[in-house]
Amino acid sequence: MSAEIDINELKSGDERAFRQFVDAYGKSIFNLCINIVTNTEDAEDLAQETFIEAYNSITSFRETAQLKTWLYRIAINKCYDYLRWKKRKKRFALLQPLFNRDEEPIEIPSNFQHPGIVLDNKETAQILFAAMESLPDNQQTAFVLYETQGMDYKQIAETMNVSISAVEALLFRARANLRKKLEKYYTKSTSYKKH
Amino acid sequence: MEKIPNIEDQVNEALSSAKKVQPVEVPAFFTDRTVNRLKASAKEGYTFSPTVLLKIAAVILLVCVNVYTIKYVLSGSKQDTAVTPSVKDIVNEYQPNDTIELTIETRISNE
Repeated sequence: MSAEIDINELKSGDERAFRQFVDAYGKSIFNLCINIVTNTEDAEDLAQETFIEAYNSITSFRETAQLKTWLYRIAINKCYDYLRWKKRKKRFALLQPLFNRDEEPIEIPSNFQHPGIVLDNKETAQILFAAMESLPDNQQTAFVLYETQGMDYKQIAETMNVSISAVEALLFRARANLRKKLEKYYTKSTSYKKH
Repeated sequence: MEKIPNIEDQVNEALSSAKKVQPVEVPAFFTDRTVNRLKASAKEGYTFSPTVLLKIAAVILLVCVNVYTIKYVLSGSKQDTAVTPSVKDIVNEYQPNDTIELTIETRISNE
């Protein structure tokens, strides 16, 4: 795919090259964003920002790296900056404790809107995505790239700029943490149902 | 009675639901909107919004207040050391003499 994109034309500020660039990677970047922020509007906004930032800093792109990997990195950073900003805003509003991230209960966001989730899977996926939001950023990234983007360990390692064994460890920890959070969530909801 | 599903099964089902997420098509006119946004951002250039200016002003004010406070505290502590009297000053001020000591000694010997 990256062979179709002429980096030099992109560097020269050619609009047609930029359009080609967005057409080529728009879908994968939009999907990555929506799987992290779980909202169509926010994902579109972040995907657009990703392309604009990539275009503005294309001169710093080293052609030894893959264009897609570089774009993914920008998108991931954009998504987490946005999520951090959103969490900060919420914390200040509700005066929630700042330091007990692990103890945060699973909170299903009111603006959850993911068109890639089919109706019969919606409830469980919603709970899973809400639990994913409370994971540390690198664990969530590894999990999203592996489970929803279908990347292999090598591709994830390149995107996250870590070793393959680090990816394995991140995925292991992500699953363990998710399991713990989901168990807590389901135990609580089951006890509510009993009463 | 409603059957309550096993928690382990629910957790596994939730974890496997990530694999069932379908790829999504980009919203209509995504490329056009991105290009328009790029053009708009290029026109805007680097301008500061009033909120940003207010934040910068608040930071500068905070730094100034901190610098002033530190200066004030340091100058205050210097003054304190200058004012702190030495033993010599106390002697000069109260001019104690041996008579008090002698009076006590005479009293003890008398007793």
